[in-house]
Amino acid sequence: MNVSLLAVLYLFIAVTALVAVLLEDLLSAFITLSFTGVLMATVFALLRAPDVALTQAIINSGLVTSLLLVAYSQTRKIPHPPEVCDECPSWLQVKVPAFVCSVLGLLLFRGLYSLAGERSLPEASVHYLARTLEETGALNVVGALLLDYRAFDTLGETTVIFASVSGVSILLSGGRRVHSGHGLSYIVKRGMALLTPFILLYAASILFLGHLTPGGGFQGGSVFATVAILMCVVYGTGFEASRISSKSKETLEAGGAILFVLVGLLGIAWGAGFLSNLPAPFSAGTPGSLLSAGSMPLLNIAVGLKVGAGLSSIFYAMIKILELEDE
Amino acid sequence: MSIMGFATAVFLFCLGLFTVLTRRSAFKTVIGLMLMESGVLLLLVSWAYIPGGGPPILPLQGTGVDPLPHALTLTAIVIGACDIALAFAFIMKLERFEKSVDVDRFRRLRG
Amino acid sequence: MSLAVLRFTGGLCIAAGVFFSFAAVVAILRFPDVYTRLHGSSKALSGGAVLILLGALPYTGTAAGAMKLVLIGAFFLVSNPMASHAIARAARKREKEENGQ
Repeated sequence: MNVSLLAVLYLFIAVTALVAVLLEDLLSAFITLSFTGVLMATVFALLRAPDVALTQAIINSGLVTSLLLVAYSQTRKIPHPPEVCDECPSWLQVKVPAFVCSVLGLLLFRGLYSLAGERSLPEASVHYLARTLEETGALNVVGALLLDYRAFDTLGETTVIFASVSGVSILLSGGRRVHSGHGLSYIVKRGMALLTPFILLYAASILFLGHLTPGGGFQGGSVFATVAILMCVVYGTGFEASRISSKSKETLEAGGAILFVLVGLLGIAWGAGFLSNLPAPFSAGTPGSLLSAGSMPLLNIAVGLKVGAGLSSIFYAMIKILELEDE
Repeated sequence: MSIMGFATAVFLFCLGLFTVLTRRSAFKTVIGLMLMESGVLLLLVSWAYIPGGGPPILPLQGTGVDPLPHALTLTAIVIGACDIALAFAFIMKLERFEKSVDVDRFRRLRG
Repeated sequence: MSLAVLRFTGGLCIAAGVFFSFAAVVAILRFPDVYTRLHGSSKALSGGAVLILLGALPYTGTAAGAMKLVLIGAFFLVSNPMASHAIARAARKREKEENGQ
């Protein structure tokens, strides 16, 4: 473990976060913030958390930045308010919040300081690391945790995604999509056509090998959503909407949820409990092969459908209102 | 060793809180929320790191790092992205009604 | 022996890549308008990142790892000119619109 490299990265994370807060120009602030996200993904990879690093790089610094840019370009005609409240007394503007935050920071750091230092693995984690292969047949312990030991939490999480997608769709309903965008130039379109199969292959490899290597349904689904967003940017807004209608996206998302619940119900039917993996009639297979780890590949596909369709429909709901503004 | 990660995480969290408390633009509020979320993620992952541990992919050489916080963090990242998308939807909707992104003006949100 | 020579060459490549990235940063800070800045910043990826990947090749140890680095480099070389082209085109379009009005 390279401590000095890690120290430099932590320093840069702090500096870019500070710059993102202090910059007046929102666009620059967003780009700086996405840079913070990339640095954090690097730190996660150095801290031996490849799954988290992949998710952070794809979702937090890729997808969220594109959502930020869409929301910003939709509201850019509005004069942006001054940075701090100028009607309130001056001590309330910066000093008191800064004092409160530093006291909170000191308290938190005081508490965490006693936790730092040598730490051994808790009992549950030792169990997971030692027995994952035997109990689930998967090689990726984090994936096994998400889709086998704690699959019920993952079902709850996909419900949160569903709630968020419905919230965004309801809030931004009423706009109608105008087939106006012609997209970027011929060169970019051809280049994108060259790259798209490879990006799709990458997404599929993350999705289908989620039980063997870092990755899984969340990351693979997000890369699929990224392809949809890239299509929208490069070929114009009408292209992707004419190929994959929002109805079929809804169907895909619902299909993912239904697949997840069906796999869970199969466990009940075999008397093993909701979402149980190997006690239900799923075979563990040969460790390391594509069709192993029981129900995990199926659940990965379900989560991937859910996340990919959900995130791309969030993007399209935002784009829709954007075009109404341009009209 | 992990104390640097803890310090950065606390700094990010408090910086995010400061941003939420002081800035008026709703976008800056969202930036503050994202920073607070990043602080929590960094705290969890640097808490999970065990010196000398390998990534939690089997077969392990020696010991592995704690996989449980990783699963938590992964969940938190996806849910955070959905939260932020919802926050943007609110901002875009409020902007159409109020013609502003100034959080001090969003009076009708008061209960 | 030959591995040592390769690694030394790789180190030189990484140094050149760092120089390219540094030059790109200076270009972004010092150049006056969008096009010259774009010209400078595209070197950070085409020159800097690709050279660093090339320099990391002897350190990977496995053929699969080296292949991955080559593929990442190829992806950079395809995607970076596309992105620069799109940015320059958008900037030109906006300039035309502003001059026209």
